[in-house]
Amino acid sequence: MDKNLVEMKNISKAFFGVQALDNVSFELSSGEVHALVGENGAGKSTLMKILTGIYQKDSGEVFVDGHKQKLNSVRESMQAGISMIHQELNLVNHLTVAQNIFIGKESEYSSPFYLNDNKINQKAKEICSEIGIDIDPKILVSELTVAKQQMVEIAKALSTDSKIIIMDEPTASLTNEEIKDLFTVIKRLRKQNKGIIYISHKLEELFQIADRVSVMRDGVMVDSFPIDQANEDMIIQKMVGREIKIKPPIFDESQFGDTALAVTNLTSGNLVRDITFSIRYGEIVGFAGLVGAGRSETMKVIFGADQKDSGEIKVNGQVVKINNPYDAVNNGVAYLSEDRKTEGVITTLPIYENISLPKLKDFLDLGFLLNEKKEIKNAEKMIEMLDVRTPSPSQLLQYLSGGNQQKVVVAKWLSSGAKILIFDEPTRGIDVGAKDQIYDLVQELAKDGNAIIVISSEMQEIMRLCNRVLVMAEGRITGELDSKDISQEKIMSLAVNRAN
Amino acid sequence: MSNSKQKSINSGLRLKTFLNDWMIVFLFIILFALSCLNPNFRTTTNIMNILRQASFVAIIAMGEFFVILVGHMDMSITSTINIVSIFFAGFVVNNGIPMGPAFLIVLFMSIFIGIINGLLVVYGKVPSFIATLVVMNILKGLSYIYSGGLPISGLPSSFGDLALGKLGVVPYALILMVAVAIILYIFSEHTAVGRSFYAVGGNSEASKLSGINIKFVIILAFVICAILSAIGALGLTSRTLSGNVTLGDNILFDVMTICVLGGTSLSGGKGRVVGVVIGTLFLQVISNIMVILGVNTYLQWVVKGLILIVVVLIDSRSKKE
Repeated sequence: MDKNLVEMKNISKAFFGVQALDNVSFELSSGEVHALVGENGAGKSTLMKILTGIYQKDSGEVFVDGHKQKLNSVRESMQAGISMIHQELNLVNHLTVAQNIFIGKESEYSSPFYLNDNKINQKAKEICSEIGIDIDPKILVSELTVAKQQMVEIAKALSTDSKIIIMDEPTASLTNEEIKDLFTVIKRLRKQNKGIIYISHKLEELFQIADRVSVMRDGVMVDSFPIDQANEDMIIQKMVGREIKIKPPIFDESQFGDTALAVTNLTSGNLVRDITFSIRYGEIVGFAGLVGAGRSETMKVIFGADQKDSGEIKVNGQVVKINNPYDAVNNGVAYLSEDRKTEGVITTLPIYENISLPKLKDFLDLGFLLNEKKEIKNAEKMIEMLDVRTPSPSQLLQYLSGGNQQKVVVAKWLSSGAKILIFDEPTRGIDVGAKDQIYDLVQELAKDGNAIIVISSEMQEIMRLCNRVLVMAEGRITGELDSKDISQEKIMSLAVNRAN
Repeated sequence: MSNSKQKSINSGLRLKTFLNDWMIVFLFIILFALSCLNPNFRTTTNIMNILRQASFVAIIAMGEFFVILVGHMDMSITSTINIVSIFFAGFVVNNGIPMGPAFLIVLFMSIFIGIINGLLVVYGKVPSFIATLVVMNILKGLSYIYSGGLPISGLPSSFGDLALGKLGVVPYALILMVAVAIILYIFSEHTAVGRSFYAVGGNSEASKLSGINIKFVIILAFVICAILSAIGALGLTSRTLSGNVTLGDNILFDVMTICVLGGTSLSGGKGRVVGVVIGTLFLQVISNIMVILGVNTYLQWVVKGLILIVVVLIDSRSKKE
């Protein structure tokens, strides 16, 4: 850690007169992993988008390697040696690993009129072995796991001689094993004197990988300090500006009602095998497991979004046929998707229209005319309840931050009146501060007599919320823990039960 | 974020959406005002003429609007128009079927066409562009087989009232168009099914998971499109009192231009019936003033092409921001 690779000085940026960044300064040394944390909307993305040339700063200066840079375009930023690995990977699925790594640079390795893959395959192999990743360059990207695809992105960044690599939530969809591999690669990059900017919501990771942490809040750089002077509570406090209490769940089992949902021997493809469980009204049942264990797949079958091969689903003791989500909604089952962007929200519609979508029937006059006042009133109630930050319920979803969009999805299902609620990663991409509100809400809903299923990859979330946990691995339920038995170690041992 | 910040973000956005939504209206007013400088343009007869001609095109464009709204495209409207025109004339003139039953038959034909389009797209998973292109060619073949390619003339003169009749100075066609527009406006913006069109076009996966029957919605969009094409076809047929297999051949381009002019997003989920009506008037006024100024037909095509390009560019630019 010696010289500054990047120096951003007094950067300001406003959108529509709103100050997104206010006099922010940021430094990155070579051979450093610098974590950047903050709630959604704190300004992390805006700052990084300025560094990568996607946005242009209003004022301030950026120095890369000691030279002042304008960074007017993504191209300029790349030429300055900056690469960003976005959360949604930018790879072409139908091309090979090597072709992806050298996309747009083929002519440097081969005649532009007759592309010869041999050279780039070899070069790709060199780059990969340099950082210790084992991927066949001739394989199609679509055949790789997300973790491997991420490695390809890193290799791509290295192929342009990037000195600065920005990683946005790189571990969001990785298993623990894959995260370890990623960290090994990051450490190797650090040894090669690259600078890494590491954006993450998972604070415990920072202590494993980062050298320095910078915390942003409301467009301002709050603090920046070496990791060995920090602890998790302190970072969270700086992020939210207040203290967060952890409340363990209290359940009164005598308050549980009848069996809401009973699933018997449900099977569909490879990821849903012989699933049997039941849940009573008032319960919060967690589904734990590693990514790819089949939890979301199971819920999608129950919700009718995917078809079952065999098995039986009972709602309120009656066998029901759920062939599509419409049937599920009619049976009082709601599914809150983990993939907000493609399965949760409709960004072209305003908040209130998103909220009333599953139950438009409730908002009709004369049996066919939509009563928008009623819709808006309902939306206002939900906005208030969930603290959605918006000037009005008529705001289009596309203008809300990710966390606020997620709250709208929650609002949508709550107001659909479903009694069996399946939350798939309910707080993914949600502010640390707002997470508590969601937890309180989920508990409130259970107390009101709803049956709630929570899928979560964050074990603390499961432990915080559930009175019972089912653990899945490779499409099967490998174990059940009730509130007295729930512990991180027990869940993990069940989750890897069959994976190893 | 503080309240004042939120407010300014909001007013900025509001101004932008306002401009986006009403741009075409401003442009239309300017265009109309400029056109009124020409004495041949600003006569009542000419204005009514424009409205009359615009009416059936608007009805057809409103049909296409619904298909675009759910994120698809219907290329087959040209042939739907042709086949309805030729069969209706054939039924009435050659087979002596009264106009009422003949109308019902062609109406069911159009519904059938819409269903086929929808089924191909929804269950066949054929891209709508290809599915409707195929249907278009099949229908074209069928109408030529039926008629030998010749027009069938001799429809009763009373049928001509549809296109040419007037209530005072107001053409029947205009009344019909306004009625259709009001019904479709209410349907699209104030009913549950209408709302689901916007939802499906905006994000079909999220809509599906919200319990919306997206297959039904998409098929319905194609059916509405086909029905409105059929109604428009009868209006166009009544102008000349003869069925014609080339009646709709040039209309697809105009219809697309109108939808985009009216603020319909080609990627679906955005647009309004009112916009389509104004888009139609806009295009019709431009055509009319070009005719009055003696611009030749081919040059008119060029001008219309440029208009479409400009509007699409504006649309894609605003999406980027």
